[in-house]
Amino acid sequence: MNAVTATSAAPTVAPFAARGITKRYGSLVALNDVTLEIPAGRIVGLLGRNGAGKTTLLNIVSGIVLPSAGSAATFGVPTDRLDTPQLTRLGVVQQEGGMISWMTVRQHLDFNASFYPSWDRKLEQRLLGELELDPKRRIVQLSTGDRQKAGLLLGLCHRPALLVLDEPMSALDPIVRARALDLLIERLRDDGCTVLVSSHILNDVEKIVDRVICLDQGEVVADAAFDELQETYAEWILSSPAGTLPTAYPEPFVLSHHGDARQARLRVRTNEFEAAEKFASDYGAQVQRRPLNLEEIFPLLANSRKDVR
Amino acid sequence: MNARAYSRLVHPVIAGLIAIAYSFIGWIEIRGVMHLPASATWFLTLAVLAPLLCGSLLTGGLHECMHLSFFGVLPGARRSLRRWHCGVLAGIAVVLGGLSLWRTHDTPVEATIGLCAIFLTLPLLNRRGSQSPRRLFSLVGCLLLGCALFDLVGARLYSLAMAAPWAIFAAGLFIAAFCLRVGFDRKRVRGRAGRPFRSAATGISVMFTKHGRMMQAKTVAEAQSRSQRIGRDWPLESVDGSAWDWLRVLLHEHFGQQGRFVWLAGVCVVMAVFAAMPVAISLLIERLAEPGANSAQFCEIVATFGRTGSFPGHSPVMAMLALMFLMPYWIVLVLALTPLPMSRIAYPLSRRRLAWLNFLLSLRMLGVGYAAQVCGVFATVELAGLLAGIPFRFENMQAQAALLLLQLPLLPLLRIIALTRRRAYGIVSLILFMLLFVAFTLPGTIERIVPCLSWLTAGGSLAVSAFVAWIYWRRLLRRYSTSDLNQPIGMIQVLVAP
Amino acid sequence: MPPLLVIDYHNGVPAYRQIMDQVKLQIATGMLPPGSEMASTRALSTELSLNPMTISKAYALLEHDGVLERRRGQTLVVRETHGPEARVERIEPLRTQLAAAASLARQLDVSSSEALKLFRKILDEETK
Repeated sequence: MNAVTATSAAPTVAPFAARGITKRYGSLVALNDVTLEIPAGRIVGLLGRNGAGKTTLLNIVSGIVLPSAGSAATFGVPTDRLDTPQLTRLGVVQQEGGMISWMTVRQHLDFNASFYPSWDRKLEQRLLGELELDPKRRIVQLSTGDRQKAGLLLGLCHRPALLVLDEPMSALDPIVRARALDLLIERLRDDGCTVLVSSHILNDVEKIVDRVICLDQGEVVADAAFDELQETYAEWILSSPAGTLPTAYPEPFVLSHHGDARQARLRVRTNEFEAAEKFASDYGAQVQRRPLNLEEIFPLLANSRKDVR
Repeated sequence: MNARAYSRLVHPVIAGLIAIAYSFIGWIEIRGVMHLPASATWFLTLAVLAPLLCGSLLTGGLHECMHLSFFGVLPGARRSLRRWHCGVLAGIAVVLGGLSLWRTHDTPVEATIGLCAIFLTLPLLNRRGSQSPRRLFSLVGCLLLGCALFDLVGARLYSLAMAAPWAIFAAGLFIAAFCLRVGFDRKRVRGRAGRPFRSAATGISVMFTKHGRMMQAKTVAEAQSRSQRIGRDWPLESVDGSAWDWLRVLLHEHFGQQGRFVWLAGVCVVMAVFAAMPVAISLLIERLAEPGANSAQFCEIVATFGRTGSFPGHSPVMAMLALMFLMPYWIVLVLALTPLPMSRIAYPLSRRRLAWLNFLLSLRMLGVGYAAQVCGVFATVELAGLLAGIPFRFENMQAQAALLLLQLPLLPLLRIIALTRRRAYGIVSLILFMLLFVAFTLPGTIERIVPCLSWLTAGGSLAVSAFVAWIYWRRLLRRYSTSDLNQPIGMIQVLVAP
Repeated sequence: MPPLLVIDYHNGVPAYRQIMDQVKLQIATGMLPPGSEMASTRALSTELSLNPMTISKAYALLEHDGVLERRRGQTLVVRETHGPEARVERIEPLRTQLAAAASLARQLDVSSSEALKLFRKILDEETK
């Protein structure tokens, strides 16, 4: 029986829920009134530019950082009161560090294994082979890529129910990265693990996520299923041999455009099925609809707040 | 390259202060230990010691710049550095020469300047090899060797300077020119690039700051990556959740790289040495005051003071001896300055549990340091007594204990103060220390304090200490419950906040 | 063994839709005959390195559209279809391609009769 459907069938408490959380560092506002909920048994991609607040949000999920205002709960427990039963079901892979540098990989794995009762030795062995990591090397001597591999191992081997990853694969070579992505999907498939991953490598994100949350300057600008996002954003290529295209498009769903009176490319956000045809008839032009990939959608998400103003 | 850039590199204020401080100590040493006449002392201090100190400190900054990986790319950097450095060194030589003329009217200026030239430029030859700790040992070795050499030839150098000043001047300029040429040689400078080096002045300029801590962490990380030693294996199969087990976990993280007792032994040795330092300094001062003093008598003074707190007569030595009892306080201050070791990994522990474990850890750290210091003081006093031939009596131990217990309530208090901003803490503790020192050295203070303490008794003192420790625990708990775990613990006004 | 599915992650078309379209095409071309069993979500997820939720969604929608049906408990099989519905469904992929070709014809200012003549010629060449 599929573990995924099993998880979604039984009523579970959301792995993470935040309501109106704000985080201030002095005068800097890292997160501003963020409300979201991570559904169980999903792979959620957390996108955003540098400084958008992704790391802060991930740190709040794992209880390392406490919000200045609002409430956040992991596994239904407020993040300032997380205790061993919740924390042993949580796996954290941090961007830099989060490891004891003087230990060898083997020593660190044994060290962590001692306080996570659900540590899976067989999985550990398999991953050491798949990610090509030498357990005898000391962590301080590892290259950045190898350190990320070690970070993945330390966060995954105890089969957590919620996996929080902050830019976990930026330094991995493409072959190992593909294996690591497979690994995340496998965690979901086998254990119904919920994965919350932030990454700049949108190509990778596209492959595995089924839900996307986008942050911009500390606020949530998108929180939707990935499919929905792909179906909402599109590029319309208008062509009018008679030269009837205008210089500006007042419709609110047109996010950007460039071109001249005969041909124009528009980036739009709309859920309406017939919007393209209606648009074409309004302007007396032909329209060709082209779907956008995540790299093309991302700037529209991250700058959407500016356009609203 | 302009004045501002050059001064940023070499930290002139810090270098100047250090040079003056150590020159002064050197002057005392030469006067008191080597028993040379005033003019000779001034000459040696200004012509050998001061230039050597200035030279190495300024060159340190210079080399720090040269050891940058991109130094070779900077256009004209080598040449302009050379110009500036020569100018500054020449200026210093002239200043020292002038000072020497002012303090001693008969010493020839040429000899002073000649020797200055040599010792100012000699550090340029330092290749600043690997930065491993082994280098520290070799540095200390060289220092001791240098002191011994100095003792032997110092007087002869002075007479030589008086006899043939112009010869020394010429030799000095020649050697200085050679050092400058070799020091700024293009090929040598290129060889320095890529081997990172950090000067002492830079280290001091960032002491007590966040940046300093980061640099320190980086140095530690570099040393760790260089060392081939594998730390201890973690012996537990699983942690059963008790505080004892978790304490072992934390101790393993912070101290597992060294052997179990290596750290402890190291701490004890260092602390004991610090405890004995005031006695050594007092001996030095005594020698300064009376060259023919009897060491047995000195030991007797130390032993009597240490055991009973009473002092026959009043002399500058007593002030120094009082330091001996303040050393534990001083060392604990320094220990409390260091932040609690931050856990690098997020342990599956509630915040309350983490607070409790860190509380135990900090008590352990301070306790070990304090105990080692106290033992050091005891050992020093008893050793002096042994040398003076005074028999050991148990009642005398109680006076010592009473004096040392005075500092016990300060332990957790200091920890709390350490939770506030670091720089302010450093200054506050310095002021506190100076006040305490002054109080201790005032005539009659100690004799008055000791009887008062007798009614406080060990029990009362411990009770006060426990109360303060309890306050510290409450504050720490609140800290852990309400703040982020990835910030080093600090930044709350513990004593002032409601 | 069900025939291969190829997913392009970067063209912006949702993965579930690509699966649906390809399954429909495979059925229409006969590569996936009626009654044949679909690969389980788990197996497909492993093979394609794809999020199992995506596959579940695609299968659910295909079932809703009547292309697949659930038999013997949990197995999904291709539904037996006869008659005009089957024909309409089979023609669907062709309609999309022809719509694009028609749009291009309009842009190139090619008349209907010219376009039809060209299409017939190409069809004849294909059947040879």
